Amino acid sequence: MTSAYAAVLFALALFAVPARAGERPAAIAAARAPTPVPDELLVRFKAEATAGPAGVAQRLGDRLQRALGARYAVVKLDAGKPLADALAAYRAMPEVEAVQPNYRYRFLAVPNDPLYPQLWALNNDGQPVEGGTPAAAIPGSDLDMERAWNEITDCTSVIVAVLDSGVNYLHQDLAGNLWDGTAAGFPLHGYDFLDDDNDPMPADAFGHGTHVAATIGAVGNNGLGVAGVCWRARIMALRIGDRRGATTARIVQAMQFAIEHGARIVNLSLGGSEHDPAFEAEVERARRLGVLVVTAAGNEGADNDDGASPFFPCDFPQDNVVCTAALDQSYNRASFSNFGAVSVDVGAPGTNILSAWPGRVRADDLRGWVRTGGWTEAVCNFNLGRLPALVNPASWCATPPGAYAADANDVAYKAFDLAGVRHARASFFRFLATEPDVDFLGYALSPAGGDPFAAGSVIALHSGSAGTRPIEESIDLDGCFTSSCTFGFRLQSNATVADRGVAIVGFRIDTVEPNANAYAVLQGTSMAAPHVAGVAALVWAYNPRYTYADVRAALIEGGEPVAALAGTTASGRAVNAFGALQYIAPPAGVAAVVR
Amino acid sequence: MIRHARTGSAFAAEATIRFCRGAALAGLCAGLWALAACGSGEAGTAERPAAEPTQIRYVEVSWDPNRESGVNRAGGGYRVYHGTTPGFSLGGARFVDVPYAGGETTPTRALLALAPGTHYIKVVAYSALNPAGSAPSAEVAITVPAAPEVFVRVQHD
Repeated sequence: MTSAYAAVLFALALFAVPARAGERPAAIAAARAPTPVPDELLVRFKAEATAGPAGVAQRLGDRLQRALGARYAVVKLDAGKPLADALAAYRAMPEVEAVQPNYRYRFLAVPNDPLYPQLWALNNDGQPVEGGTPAAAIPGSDLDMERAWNEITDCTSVIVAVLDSGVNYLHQDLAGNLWDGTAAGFPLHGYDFLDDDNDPMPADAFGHGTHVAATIGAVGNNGLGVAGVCWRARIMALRIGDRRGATTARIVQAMQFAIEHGARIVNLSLGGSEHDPAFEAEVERARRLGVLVVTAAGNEGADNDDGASPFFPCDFPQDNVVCTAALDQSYNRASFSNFGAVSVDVGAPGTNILSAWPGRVRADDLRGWVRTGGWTEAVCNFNLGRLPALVNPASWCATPPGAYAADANDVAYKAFDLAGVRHARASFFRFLATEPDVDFLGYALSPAGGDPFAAGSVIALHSGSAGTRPIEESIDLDGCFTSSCTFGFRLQSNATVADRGVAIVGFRIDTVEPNANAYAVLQGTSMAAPHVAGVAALVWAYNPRYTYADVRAALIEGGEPVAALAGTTASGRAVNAFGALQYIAPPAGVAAVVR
Repeated sequence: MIRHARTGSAFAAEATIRFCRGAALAGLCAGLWALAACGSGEAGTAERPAAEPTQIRYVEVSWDPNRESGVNRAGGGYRVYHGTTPGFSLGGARFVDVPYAGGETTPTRALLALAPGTHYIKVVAYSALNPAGSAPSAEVAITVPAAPEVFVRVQHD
């Protein structure tokens, strides 16, 4: 990686979640307590009380407001009487059995989205996350969204730019919450800096950006899927990379686009270890123009403040950067999350995060393939355990392994229904060892079905050996969006030296679908950052006069102290949406003169 | 009828104000500073200056408006605390409440009736969502000089 052209990798991690029991801090419990009505008490009178409730209240200078059944009454206190004093006075009365404040409970804003109960980051009641890693959870370890949503759910006054792998803007939970760039010539809600066109769809079906976008602003309370931190939002979709990452040039271009078209917040769920002057200059320009940059701390479990392992943009010194560590469901720092007492500002939920995905994923168990020659369905021992595989020869898993046949022309293929999808991509791991440049493994595709090597077209050929190292393949299936698209493998050999052959593992097809209703569970600091970006948008919409510095202060000062973040982040706090809305800056510019 | 007439022209306003306590004072303050509440006190009660009335001076406190929407709408406002020791605690300190009173922003000025001596002032902003309020502002000190002698002519009708 060079500073001039840094390949910055998306910070997507797939680590187990540590479990540790713990208690909620007392301060949080207090913050959640209902507010008492300041001039009212609920009084329970003794059954044998000789004086009636009205008489008792009158003796204390108050008045009976109304009876609640035979022995309970609501007492209206004399104007200005402190509640604590009144509680003590009533407790001392011989006619009184019990007295308490008249609490004011608030209706909590709960969206009707069916997957909302799994969004522990927004409201943690200790629930499991379907499809996630089983983990211990401490209820209340969350962004406190339901209290915040009582105040505001609409962030449409604040454009949030998602610089990522693209966004499926036709997803059922995102359509309607995207930036409308029609007037500026960008009717598809953003730009694709990878393909240099107006369409920021994730053409490689990599769902990272869609997941991030929906965490910020999946349409809330629409009865579909999940809810975002913002129920209504204006998300600007800027595609800067694919599953391989993004480059400095595209990041800078996209930041310029975002700033030029009115974005107030830029979410950068990415990072790299090389200091990048061009990137930093653009972050500085964003600062001068009042734009907040929310970014991820990184997923190596490393200290970003250690000079040996910096992480950018997290480590950039500009104060418009809010760098976010990931927390788990017990508000422990996620095992994979980077940290930094100087560079990492806050924490936010980042494990077992359920959010939107561009389309259905056809995970295939490599069974039911049409096979000729030596292709065999097998279960082999890999480092990750026993996995189903498609192998050629049949003895590929054996110890010692066998060799494929001479003069082979063996085909294995399978049909997939890809009708109606916008993009699709097959991915799998291959182990390959063939006689170099003589024997080949080929891939082929046929929209008409049948043997794709006979009816379709060959799209790749590989030969030679990568040793025992698996190679991850990602094959674009464009042009095969039919109900019987066949994808196949072919092993061809001549009569000379044969080698160990081929094994295919972990085959899946990712898609991008219009009106997609797909969702996925991911974890990483990439997932923590958009929670912060969403809360930032909510705070900015709530306080339109705020500057980026005010929003940053609200995120940090309004945060919840978390033990796991003390000493590992600059604030020691997790972002808390309600706390951020409650935050008020200390008045400035105080002056006094004698008149 | 007793009529008060001012003779010390330089400090006429102060001399006049000390004779118009309560509603008259509030009305005058509202007229001068357009404040919804310029009487001070403890926990919202009317301020009773500790010094002899003749020694009371008026201190105008101003500050920058807060940018939180909640401070600048119903339920929001500022509390101007004052004490006589540096770093004084807000708990139990005297304050003037400056609530939102309509319009785009809450007033950002208050008048304190203070005795001669050095006083310390801190401002806290609050909202309906956060009635406890912000952290206090930086503390400012103001020294109130002893009031010069004021000649009062009392005319008996």
